[in-house]
Amino acid sequence: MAIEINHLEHVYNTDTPFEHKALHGIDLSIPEGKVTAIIGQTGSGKSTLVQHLNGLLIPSAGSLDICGFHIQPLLKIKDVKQLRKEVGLVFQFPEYQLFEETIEKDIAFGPKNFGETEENANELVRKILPMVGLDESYLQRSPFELSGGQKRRVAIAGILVLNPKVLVLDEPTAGLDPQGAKEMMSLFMELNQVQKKTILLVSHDMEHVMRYCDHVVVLDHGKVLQESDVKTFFEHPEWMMEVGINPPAIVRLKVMLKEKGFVIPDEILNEEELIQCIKGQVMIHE
Amino acid sequence: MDAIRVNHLSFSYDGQTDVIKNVSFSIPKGSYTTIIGHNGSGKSTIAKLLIGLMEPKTGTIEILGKELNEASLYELRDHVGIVFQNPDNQFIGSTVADDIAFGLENHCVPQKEMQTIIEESAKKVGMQDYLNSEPTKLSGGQKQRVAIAGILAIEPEIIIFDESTSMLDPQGKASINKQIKALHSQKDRTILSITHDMEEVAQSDFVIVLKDGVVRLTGTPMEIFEHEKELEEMKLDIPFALKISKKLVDENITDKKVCTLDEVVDQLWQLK
Repeated sequence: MAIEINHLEHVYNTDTPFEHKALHGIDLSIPEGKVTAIIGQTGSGKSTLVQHLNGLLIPSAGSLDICGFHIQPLLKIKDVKQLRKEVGLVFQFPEYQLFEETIEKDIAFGPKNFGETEENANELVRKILPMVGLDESYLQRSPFELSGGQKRRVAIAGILVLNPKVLVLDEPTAGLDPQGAKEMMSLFMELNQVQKKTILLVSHDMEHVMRYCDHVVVLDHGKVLQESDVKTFFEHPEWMMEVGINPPAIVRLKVMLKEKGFVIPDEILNEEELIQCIKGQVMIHE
Repeated sequence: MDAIRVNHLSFSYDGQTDVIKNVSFSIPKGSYTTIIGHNGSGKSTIAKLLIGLMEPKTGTIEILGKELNEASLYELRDHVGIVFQNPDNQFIGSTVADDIAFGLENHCVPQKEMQTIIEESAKKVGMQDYLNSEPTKLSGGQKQRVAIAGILAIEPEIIIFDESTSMLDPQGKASINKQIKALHSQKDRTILSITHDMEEVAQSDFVIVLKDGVVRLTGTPMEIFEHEKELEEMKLDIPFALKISKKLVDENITDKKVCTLDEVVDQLWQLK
């Protein structure tokens, strides 16, 4: 079932001098089993929006329907506890939230919180660890002696171990080395394609959005500025630059070449086609 | 003269396993140098050693020709500034203005000049409206901006950026990078940037590649990017501009590989 968001509004610090409306009537339908990118500048409302998806924030007005839950204003936190198992939210730099003495205990914290016995929780930890590229030799190590990228894997394992249906990832590859970022994205794509998990990716990295996502939602000042399939989205880069989104390198190159008089069709989004297109417009070097 | 000279440096966190292994390199004064390497390769550890936050197990570090040790530490710290990846690690002041002021106070900047410098440096990073805000209540990107403002205020001779713009959106990143480049080109500051952004690497003067605590490659960006296979094995990558440039050479469209988009466009424009 798709995630349906209807006229969602969120106001921070209501009835105080610091009152701030972060979301202004968002209407969205996020397709099930697809990878949807949520993009926009800092302060556009991305984090506020995604925190509604597992009930970390409750709407000030409007509602959401997600995984059989109807989230509306004044809902109590206890009513959405089970939703947190269904929707895994991975914050930016999740490694800063690691807290346990050992990696095993850190990853097992979630399942135990949802009622699993210690034995079952530890069994789940052993199953999930290889999925994030770590082996059992890590189990008894302190999460704090790992590198940044390894900590990120442990933190993500702590979410995956709950086997959520929907994964919300807030800048999951920030700070990772290029291959580490590729491996992390491959892991998420596998979860999407094999386990059919619905994925929402909050990202500033347009290379990832172009390569991995099916659907794009652009937020600006708490409103949906644009929503489209990924191919259509990158065919029109001019307005992207106007709203401060840095297009992928191939799109930037197309824009720069067009400014120099090259004719490049909008639909070209891969290197080979671009080179063939350029080839017909230059003197070939002998 | 070298801004930084590192000689046979080794370091271990636990006293047993070396995470920095006999590393030597030098960074010319006024250069823009990038350090790249996989997660866990020792980049941030080297940054912390360079500002004397930790003591080397063996080897020496020279800053502006003077050896870094207990006696010279405070004097040399006047010349070196760092912005960490996680800005929470370096906040001291209770407001943004206090935090930016901290470095200035340490550099004995007169009180009457301080206010102007604080306002100007906050403006450079777009944080002029937050001077009275509490740093801990800001977003990750805003915190990074404040940490960078603190460095822009004192303009030390050597500035180390440890993935300092990782939490910023592209527009924020571009505007901060512009400030950093201006500091480098207009004021001749030495910049040492730890980064995973290969486009930034392509624009630097000099690159140091670390793998498992060892310097594996040093050279200009083009010299480094020649080792594409080795970089891939080290979990790194080459910039998109070079990938497309290589294909243009293979297709006999151009005759020289380049590594920035501006250079690719210039080459093609001349052939049009």
